[in-house]
Amino acid sequence: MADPGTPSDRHDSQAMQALSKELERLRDDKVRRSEPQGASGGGSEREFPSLFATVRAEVAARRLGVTRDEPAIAEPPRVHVDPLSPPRPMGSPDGIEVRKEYELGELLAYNGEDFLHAAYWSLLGREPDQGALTHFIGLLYRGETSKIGILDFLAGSSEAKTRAARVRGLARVLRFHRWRRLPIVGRLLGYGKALIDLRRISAITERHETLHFRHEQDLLGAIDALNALSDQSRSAVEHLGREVVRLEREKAARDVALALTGKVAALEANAKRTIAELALRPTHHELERVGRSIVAALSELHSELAQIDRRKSEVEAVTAGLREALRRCDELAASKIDGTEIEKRIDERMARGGLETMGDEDPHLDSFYTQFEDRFRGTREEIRERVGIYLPILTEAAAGSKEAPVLDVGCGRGELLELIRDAGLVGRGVDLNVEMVAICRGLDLEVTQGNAIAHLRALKEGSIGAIVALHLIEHLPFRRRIALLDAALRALKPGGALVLETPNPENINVGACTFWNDPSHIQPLPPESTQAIVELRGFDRVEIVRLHAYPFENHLPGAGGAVRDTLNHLIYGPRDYAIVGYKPRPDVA
Amino acid sequence: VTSSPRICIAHQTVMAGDAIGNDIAGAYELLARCGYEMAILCEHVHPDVERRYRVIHEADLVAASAGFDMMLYHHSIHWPGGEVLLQRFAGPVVVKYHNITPPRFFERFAEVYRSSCELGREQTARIASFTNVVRWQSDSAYNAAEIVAAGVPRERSGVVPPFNSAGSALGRERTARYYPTGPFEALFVGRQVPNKGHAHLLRTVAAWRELFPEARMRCRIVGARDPRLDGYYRELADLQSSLDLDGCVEWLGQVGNDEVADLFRGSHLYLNLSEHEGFCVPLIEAQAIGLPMISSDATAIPETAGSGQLVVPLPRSQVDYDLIAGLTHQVCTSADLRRRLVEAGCRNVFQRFVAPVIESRFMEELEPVLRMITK
Repeated sequence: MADPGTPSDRHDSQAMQALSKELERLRDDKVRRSEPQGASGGGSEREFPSLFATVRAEVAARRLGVTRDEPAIAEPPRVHVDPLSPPRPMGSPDGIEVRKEYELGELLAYNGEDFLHAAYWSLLGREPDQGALTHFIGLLYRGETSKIGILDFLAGSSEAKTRAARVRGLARVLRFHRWRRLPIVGRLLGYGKALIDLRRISAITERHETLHFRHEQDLLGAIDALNALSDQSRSAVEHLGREVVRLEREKAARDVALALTGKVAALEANAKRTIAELALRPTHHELERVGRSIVAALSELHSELAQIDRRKSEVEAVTAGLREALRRCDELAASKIDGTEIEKRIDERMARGGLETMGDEDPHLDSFYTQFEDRFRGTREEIRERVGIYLPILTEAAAGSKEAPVLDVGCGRGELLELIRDAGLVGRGVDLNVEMVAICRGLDLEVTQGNAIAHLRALKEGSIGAIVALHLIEHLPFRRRIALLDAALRALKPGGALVLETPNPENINVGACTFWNDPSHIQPLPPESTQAIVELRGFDRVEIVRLHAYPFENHLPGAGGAVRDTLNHLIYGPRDYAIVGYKPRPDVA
Repeated sequence: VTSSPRICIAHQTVMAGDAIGNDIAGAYELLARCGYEMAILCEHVHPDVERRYRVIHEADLVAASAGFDMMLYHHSIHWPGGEVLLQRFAGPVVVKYHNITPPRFFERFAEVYRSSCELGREQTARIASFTNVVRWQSDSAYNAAEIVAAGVPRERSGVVPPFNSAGSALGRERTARYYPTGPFEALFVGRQVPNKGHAHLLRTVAAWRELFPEARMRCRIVGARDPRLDGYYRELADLQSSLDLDGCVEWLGQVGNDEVADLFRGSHLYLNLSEHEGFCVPLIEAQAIGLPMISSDATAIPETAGSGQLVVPLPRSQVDYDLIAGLTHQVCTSADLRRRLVEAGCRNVFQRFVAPVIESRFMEELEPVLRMITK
């Protein structure tokens, strides 16, 4: 059942070697093996302490981004054959001069590797190669040769002979060694040498004893130091163990805290998203609605601008024509032709429909228009509220007295007249529509049925304090408008006010759409154009009063911005405007 | 001529090849071999079971049980009909307890299972007081402790591991080969229910991927799904997605017996981080086939795993997942460690869970009751 393993398995770390020992111990645990394994439970960290510790360290290191390298194969320690000789650095021989002749004692003073270096440098004049070094150290270590033997070997080599270096005393010692191998003589020689060497050996022994004692002391000191170090290490390991446990607990707590933070953050994000969605929902609808309006409005604006361009050309053409007509009128006047007759002809030619001819052509249309106004103009109360703004203008112009009454031209249902009366002023009205006139008269208002221009012309010059024409001029063709202005200028007292209210095509919704709700409207009248015409017809202090903008709540939301302001003006700007002008006083003119 | 004593084995549903089905079949065959007249009483039965054994699944099981001398009642679920059957049975009853999963595991996912488990546990306490229940057998000491806590007298309770077919896999050759950088296949087998700790598997795989990017590991999860636990599966899918484990985890669903055997043979490690088990048959199946394993120390798992196995505490933090991933890596890369784990696993199966051992234990536990009905 056990698998053979792969080559990589043979490279298990030192930790795994420790694990193997641990497992081996468990395998050899006879008690455990022979015990029936039952409810006592399975293995645990207690069974594999080394493995768990190793794995914990391994994964912690990996978490920190530190991948532990496989332990390198350690180099075998260098063996100093003679422990009495302190190690010397490799390289050039220390204290050996390169010369032709050496004393034997000089070389024998070295030990171990140093001896080999000295021997090689003295006899061969070079460093020993690594193989030879290892070989000779091995021989010395195992006692298979001596330093004399190595010197003999090196001195006898062809390399040494070539170099002709010699060791004085070596031949004598070698000779002595050869004699020492003879049966009887050798033994006697041995005894003799021993006697001779006794003193030297005794000195060496004493030296060795001294060294031995010193080393023993050193070793004891080292053992004490190691013991102390071991104690320190143990307490350090215990401390580290406690630290690891503490850190793990902290980490676990931090994990929990992080998880909680994450959950809180997620909840917060969710809540924010939900709030944002909730907040955006109406904005989306609003934006969508506004966006649609903008698209439609822009398209209408384009067509309106094109139309305005066309109208501008027309106005220019008409103005040119008018100037020409005036020039001809002057000519006619000079030739004593009746100007009134000419005007009448012009009026007839220019009246091509509009409100003025409506009732003439079909009496039922009066009734239709009354109903129409009821639907589109607004309720009586709304109109009263709207027209109330003109009362200060009228009073400022000193209009509303019996001598200088207010004339409401195209008075419709009489809302303004009612307001004038309520304000204690005197006002009269004129309207072409029979039904409207009937309504006004029903309210006990003084109203004349008839054509406005004709009515004005019939009035005594300079007899009216103020003339108000609300939503009238857009029903008139250009020349009739001119005629109206001229007739009004004539009828007004000097300083008397003229008020002309009309839909404001600057509001693109009005210009493009609502203006055309009334089929009797002829054309939208841009404020500046109307202002210019009124001025050109002789009125003074002519100004534009823009009215009836949509409430601010309807405007596009958000902070200020040129585009937004422009759009607000175009879409939610004033729906009507009034031209207020005054008949010049003689002293001013 | 004297007739043989008749023994019926009762359980609500008897399936072929699942843990309880195998246990019932093992007991049936053993007792039949011993000369007893056997039958299975149940409400639902798999056709394979019906073909092999005498099965009674009539509407009136109480009446059907009247002709038997003894009943071996398997208790693994809330079975109202079973309780009535026990109350009305005149002869001695031995209850085999297979553990009922604590309801808390189903709280968030399926009320029907939560209440069923709760009712099942309440039923255990009631059955404990039935005087005709003379012996209780439990799959594990853990289960035995549970029923003693529920009121069963300790002296009436004994442990008999479930009959299983794991022993037949002993010595079967494995096909997985271990290479230093994988790929390594970890395997888990068990129904996809909330107590099986699937989320721990996913988090362990994620930890492995972060810690050992040089070695690929995939976790294959085998087990049937239940449509009523869709919420649990959605949660697992979300977790897998958030851990970006696509390709590292394979959900195999329910697979056939042969395919499961192939998966055991072809995997490198059995990884079981289940949170609640009354016995856990797949553990011994893995051991029998020589698959090294790492498992959690929850409930009966360490007891079933036996000694000499790598058993870890249920993971609670990233440190724990890192430890499990690290141990998994060690198992996959150290032949020596594997050898010892596999050896201990095989020894565990051979000494405790092969048929002769279980049969002996079963008969030993049943003997006093059998003596009662053969007098």
